[in-house]
Amino acid sequence: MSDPLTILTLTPLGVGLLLLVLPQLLPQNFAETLRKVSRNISFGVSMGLFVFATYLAFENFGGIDWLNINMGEYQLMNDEPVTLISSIGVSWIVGVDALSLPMVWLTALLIPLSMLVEWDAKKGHIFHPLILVMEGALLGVFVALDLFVFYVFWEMTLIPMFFLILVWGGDDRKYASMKFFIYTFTASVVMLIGILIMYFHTGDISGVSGSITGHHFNLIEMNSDMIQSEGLRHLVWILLLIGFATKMPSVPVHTWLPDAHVQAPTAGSMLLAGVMLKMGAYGFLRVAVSLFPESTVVFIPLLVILGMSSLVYGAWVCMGQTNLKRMVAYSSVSHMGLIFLGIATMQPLGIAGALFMMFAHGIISPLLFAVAGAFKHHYHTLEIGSMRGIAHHSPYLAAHMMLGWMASLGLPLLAGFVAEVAILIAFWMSFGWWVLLPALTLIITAVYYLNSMQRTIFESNDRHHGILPESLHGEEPRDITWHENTSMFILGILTVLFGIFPFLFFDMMSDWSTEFIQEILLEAIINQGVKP
Amino acid sequence: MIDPSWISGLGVILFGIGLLGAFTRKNAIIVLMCIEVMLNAANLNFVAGASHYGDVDGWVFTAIAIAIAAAEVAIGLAILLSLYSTQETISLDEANILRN
Amino acid sequence: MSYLPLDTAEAELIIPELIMLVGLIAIILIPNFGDATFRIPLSRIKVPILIGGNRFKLTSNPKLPNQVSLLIFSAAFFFGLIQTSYGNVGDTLEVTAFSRIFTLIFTAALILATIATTHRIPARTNLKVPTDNDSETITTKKIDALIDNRRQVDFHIILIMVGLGMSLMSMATHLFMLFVCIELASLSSYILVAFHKETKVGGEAGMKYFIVGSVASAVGIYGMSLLYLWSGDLSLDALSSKWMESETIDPIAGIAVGLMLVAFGFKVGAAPFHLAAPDAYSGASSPVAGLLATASKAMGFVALMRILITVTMPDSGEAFWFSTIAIISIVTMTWGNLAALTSTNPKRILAYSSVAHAGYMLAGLAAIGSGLASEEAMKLVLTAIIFHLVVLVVFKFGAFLVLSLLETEGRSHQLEDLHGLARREPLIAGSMFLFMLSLAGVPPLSGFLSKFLMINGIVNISAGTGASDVSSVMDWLISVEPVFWLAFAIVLNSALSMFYYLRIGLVMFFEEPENTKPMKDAFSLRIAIVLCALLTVIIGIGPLSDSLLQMVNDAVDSFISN
Repeated sequence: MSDPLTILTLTPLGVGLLLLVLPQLLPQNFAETLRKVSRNISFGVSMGLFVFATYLAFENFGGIDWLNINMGEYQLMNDEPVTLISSIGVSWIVGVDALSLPMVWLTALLIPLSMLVEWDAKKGHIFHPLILVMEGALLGVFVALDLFVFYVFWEMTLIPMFFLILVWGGDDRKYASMKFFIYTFTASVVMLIGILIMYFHTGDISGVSGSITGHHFNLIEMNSDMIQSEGLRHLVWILLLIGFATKMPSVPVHTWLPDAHVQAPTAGSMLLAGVMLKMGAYGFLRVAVSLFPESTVVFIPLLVILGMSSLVYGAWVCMGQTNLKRMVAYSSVSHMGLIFLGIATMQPLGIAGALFMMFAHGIISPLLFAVAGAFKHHYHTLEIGSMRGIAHHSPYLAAHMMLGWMASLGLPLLAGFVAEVAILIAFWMSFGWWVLLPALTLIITAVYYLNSMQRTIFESNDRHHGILPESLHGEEPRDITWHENTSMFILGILTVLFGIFPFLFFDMMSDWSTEFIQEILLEAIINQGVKP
Repeated sequence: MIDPSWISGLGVILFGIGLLGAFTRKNAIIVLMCIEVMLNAANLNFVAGASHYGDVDGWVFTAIAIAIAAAEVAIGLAILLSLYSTQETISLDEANILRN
Repeated sequence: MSYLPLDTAEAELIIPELIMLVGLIAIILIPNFGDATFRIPLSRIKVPILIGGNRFKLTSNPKLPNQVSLLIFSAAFFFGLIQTSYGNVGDTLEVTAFSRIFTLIFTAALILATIATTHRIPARTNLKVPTDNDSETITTKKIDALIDNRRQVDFHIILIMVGLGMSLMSMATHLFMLFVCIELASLSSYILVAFHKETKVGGEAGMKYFIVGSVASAVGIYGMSLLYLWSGDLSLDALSSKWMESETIDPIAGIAVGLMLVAFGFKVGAAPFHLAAPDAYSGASSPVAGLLATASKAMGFVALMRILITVTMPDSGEAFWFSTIAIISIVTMTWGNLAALTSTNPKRILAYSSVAHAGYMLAGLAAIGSGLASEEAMKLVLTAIIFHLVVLVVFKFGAFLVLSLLETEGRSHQLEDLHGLARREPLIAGSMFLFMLSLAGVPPLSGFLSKFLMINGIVNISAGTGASDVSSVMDWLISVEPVFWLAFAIVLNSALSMFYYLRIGLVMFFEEPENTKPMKDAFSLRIAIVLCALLTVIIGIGPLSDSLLQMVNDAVDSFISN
């Protein structure tokens, strides 16, 4: 097990767990020392992993032709899969392609940034190791090519996040963490039935399949023909959709998200919005669409309805919010709706747009949550309406907030714009003038937000002070600290960078999508008689 | 010789009485007696079977079942005593501090 | 012709049971060893006879029985583990891989119970008799401690009897033998439940458990006697061949099997016979409750498998008990989970969760009974059930060990007693949280693997039955056999159970503890808890789970081939 992806996944898991357990077992004085440095060790490890992930990505840009990756050709695979449970055919097999590489890189990037944001938040010695465990689980989801391992990592992400919300969350954290855990757990056990039905239909391949069961979990060896009955294929697809859509989350199973976001600590929110929501979209493309293209084509109307209602409902509710975090949370719901729409177009451009949306939203929403967290930290409130003229007091915070919102609303030259435009164009090609509905929604919300941001950030009754929230009790607010600033700055730079040079990842994604359509979906599209 | 079906018929009646008693009576001692009656109904069946099949096994079963019944009563009465000494009741309805 | 009832080859097969038998005699004798002598009549020669008189320092040590029984169970476990030869012992016992794995389950549970009892009923070597000068409270305390010392032996004698009964019952190939062994184990477990007879709850719990249990077993024995009337031979082979021969099910035999299901249903805690279980668990001490939830349940499932699969499972087609068991399983799991949601006593919660788990396993049995299973699929489900019984020992008993640790402070009857455990004892609380997650079936813990295998087996049996030529989901769902819905029942119940498992986790990490002092320094108990937590994780995924699965699979093979 010495291939790069395995190292990337297992290092944070191992180090994180060690840092959690060792202080309990070691003698008192050693344990004290370890507790003191656990924050530094965690950050160091996550930084190291980020460098390693970047190296992998760029080293292999030369070595591997990322731009010409065919669907189903995984890179950086471990050549000899390690058998984990041979009786039922579980093996450790990892690999990345253009779908997962940006996600892996994003995860490796966001972990140190989220640690940085909460650097001096005095959260004790287990906060940072928990995030490290989280990193391992998240990376595991993105690199695993064995459905059992995928599911295990999928569920494993819940536990550190549960604790992050429960221990360091806001006032209502008990309710929020329970809701978060139970919602997503329920959805994923439903998904488990789907996975098991697929498992039961896999063939007996010697060396891969389980010795007792004669089936295997190897995603690469699975294909859409394995299940004979079309009705059953649809059923499996729907079971999978329930699991993935709840994670994304899509209306009507989105209600856990606002609660979890509002209560979670800043780092938790950043990871939740930045990476965990993407797991849903990733899994949907990787498992449901790849293996059941016909069902996907059949259920395009369902996808459109889900996506459209998420988009419109998320945007609509977002406008009514006064709580900054809740607002960002609903805007996430809205953006996730766009991803469904992008997939539903069945155009290479739409799917590439959806992929890019996953990535862009993965850097924009953490920025917004970092801003919200800093706002809470320095102004002791999340009520956006209680404040006028932040720019006068906290110019850096105001700048990051402005940039984050503009990117989120899809201002040109920022990362979100590329994705939105790509999806909308594809949507227009597929569904014609229906595109007005998402487009108008986006425009109206953009206008509304620019207006409200303008008031919050710049307007003031008094040129020098603005209105300060009551929760400050008359204290003078401070601007954000250097580490918050650094973290936001990096995210902001990336937002601009990927807005101006989207092709860094977009080309790769669009090639993959073209291939994906050709290899997987085209036949189904033609069979089902849908206009491509 | 009595036909075995008469014996097991008696067994059915005894079993019915025992079961009915065990479900309706609240006094633990009476319930204990009902259990005994049910066990005896089983014994009658064993005996009837033994005589019908001309098989020794049934008699052995009966002997062992009687021993089990004796052990059961011994344990039951001991537990009953400890219940009575702590809660001063032998009614199964009145002893319910566990549910509160 | 040997005068011994066993020849050497047979004795080798049942070494674990012989160890327990010898240990039973030893544990009765050893604490009585003393310097008593016997004077040979008409002479002055005194022969030491060892029994009675002033006891030696070693044998009068109140900690001795505990150590002896720990040694006995460990030896039995060890010899069970290394055993490779199988065969018949006499006419009514047969040692197979199947019986062996259950012996291991029982002895492992008993080892844990013994360790927990060390601290639950503590033995103290330096006790003094109360004097007139002592105040009333000190006198009561001293007397209590003396009583604890006195009854060390009693507890362990009964514990060994439980082990012997259970272990023998897993090898029984004769229905009557099976029943007698179950009775030996259950009569002993009634005493264990009522063991703390000086407390109000002890007597009540014992009484309720005893009454319901003996009514159930009386019904079962009556059912068995009907079966005897029907066939004239109670060995499992004879019963099964007779069952195969008869074309229609004789009403007497049907009723007989139904009545026996009542008895075994009580043992596994299936609804509606589970009502005494929560009372028994919460009244008994935690080690005993753990024993009931793991070993006793495994015993019930052995009996169920024997009667349902060995005897009454037809070669093809649906077994007559299929719909009954299927309905019972759904009712059991739902009832257990709903009742656990409303409970605030951690022991009752665990009791109800154990009821729910019985429901999951019954669902597996029902899926086999549907008659749709190929032999492969049937083996898969049986593997899942036995694997679940094995890993239950690790995490269910682990949870009860944590409660035992709490009980050494005299508390574990309210959820409040768990409050802030994470602040007092982070490692113990972490382990408890792992146990809860494993009970709920969260990957990568062992509870997930077993639940996973169960659902997998059911899906495996049923998903192939749906029509293959329909194109809409609804049509397919209509065409599939109802067994398929059992998988959904399990999944929805797992989600439901998440609420109360998480609640236990939540109060440990969230609420303020009443006092922040660490708990008693019960070293061996702590080691056992951490070991269980460790096993919970590593049996979930990786090589150990693989070898365990292989072992269970061998057991299933040997069970099927009979």
